[in-house]
Amino acid sequence: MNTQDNDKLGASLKDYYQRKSLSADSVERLLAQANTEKPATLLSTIGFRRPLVGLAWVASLFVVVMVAQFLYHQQSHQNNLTALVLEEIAMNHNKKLDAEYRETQPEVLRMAMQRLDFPLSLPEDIQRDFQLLGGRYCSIQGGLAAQLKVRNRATGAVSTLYVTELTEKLARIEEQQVLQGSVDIQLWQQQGRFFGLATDAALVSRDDGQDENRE
Amino acid sequence: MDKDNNLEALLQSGFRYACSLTHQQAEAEDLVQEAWLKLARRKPSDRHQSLSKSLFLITLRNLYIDRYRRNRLVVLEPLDEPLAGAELNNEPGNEQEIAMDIEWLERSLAILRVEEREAIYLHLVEGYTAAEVAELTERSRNTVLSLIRRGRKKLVNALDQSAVTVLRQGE
Repeated sequence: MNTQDNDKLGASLKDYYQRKSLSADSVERLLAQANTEKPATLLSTIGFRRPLVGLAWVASLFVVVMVAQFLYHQQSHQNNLTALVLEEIAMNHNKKLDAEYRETQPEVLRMAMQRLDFPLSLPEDIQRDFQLLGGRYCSIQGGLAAQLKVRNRATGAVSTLYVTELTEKLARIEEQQVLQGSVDIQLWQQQGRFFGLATDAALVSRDDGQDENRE
Repeated sequence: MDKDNNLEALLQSGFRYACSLTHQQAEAEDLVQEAWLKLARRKPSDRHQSLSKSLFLITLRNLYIDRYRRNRLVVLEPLDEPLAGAELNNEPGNEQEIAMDIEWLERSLAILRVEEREAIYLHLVEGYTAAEVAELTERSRNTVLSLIRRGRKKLVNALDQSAVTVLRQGE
């Protein structure tokens, strides 16, 4: 391209870009804004020419904050609930209360404890590893529960097994095994019921089968 | 020229620069308004810097980069070729009459890379020297010269193809 062509190209480009201009309305609006110089607001900064976009952005932010807050509270509530249940179970276990109904067969015990509105059949692994000694009524988080005394067939250690109906509230508690003070506690859900097995930590043996997966 | 006229000229100049970046008027207008708002609401501590044309252009450019991500604007291939500047005015001769109408330029400019269009605009339309363009766009002078040269070459090639098409249509 020679110099003459360069000049022509430059001139054409200048002409092309000179034809591009902001409308008088846009210029007037921008100049007015420059003169006022109001402090920036979130909406005007984000939305400017598209207030709906700005509004949507703020709404989205609000939703995210609310969801995060909800999840945080839910998680916090769940943690609190688990702690409360563990504390309740440990406290009842430490009382070492005698069984009010001394029945060694779950079906018979269920017949005796007529106030219960859930079955008392025990999971197979519990039946295999523990001997039922009897039971009494108790409550977990305000709900009626059965507090069963069971003896470990291998070690002879007496544990307390809690059984109650799986409520929406208890369903949020995850399966876990924790040490609550001096009490080893296992929590799990099975067949529409909530179970808690409490044993003195000093008596828990790693060979007693409590850690095995439940059916 | 009063203050408002100066500001209006500044706005229009910024708008044309934004057009060179976006190659779309609506997007360019958005960019200008965003940059204008940003500058109008600068912190008091930043007000010592007067509202100059270069500040406006740099603000526009930064906003464009923010908006479209750096990888769409930064030069990804090496452009620091030796003697790039020397070739600026020594392209193979093109003796055809250059009839560059608006429509042709619109199409031809669209095929340029953003950085080429930007460099050509600043150099040929705004009249900045290659060194000034380099400073404004934070590139080396050689890179700017290469961008201008390549951009011009593409425009000329587009013109050649356009001329061939016209000739074929006339046969």
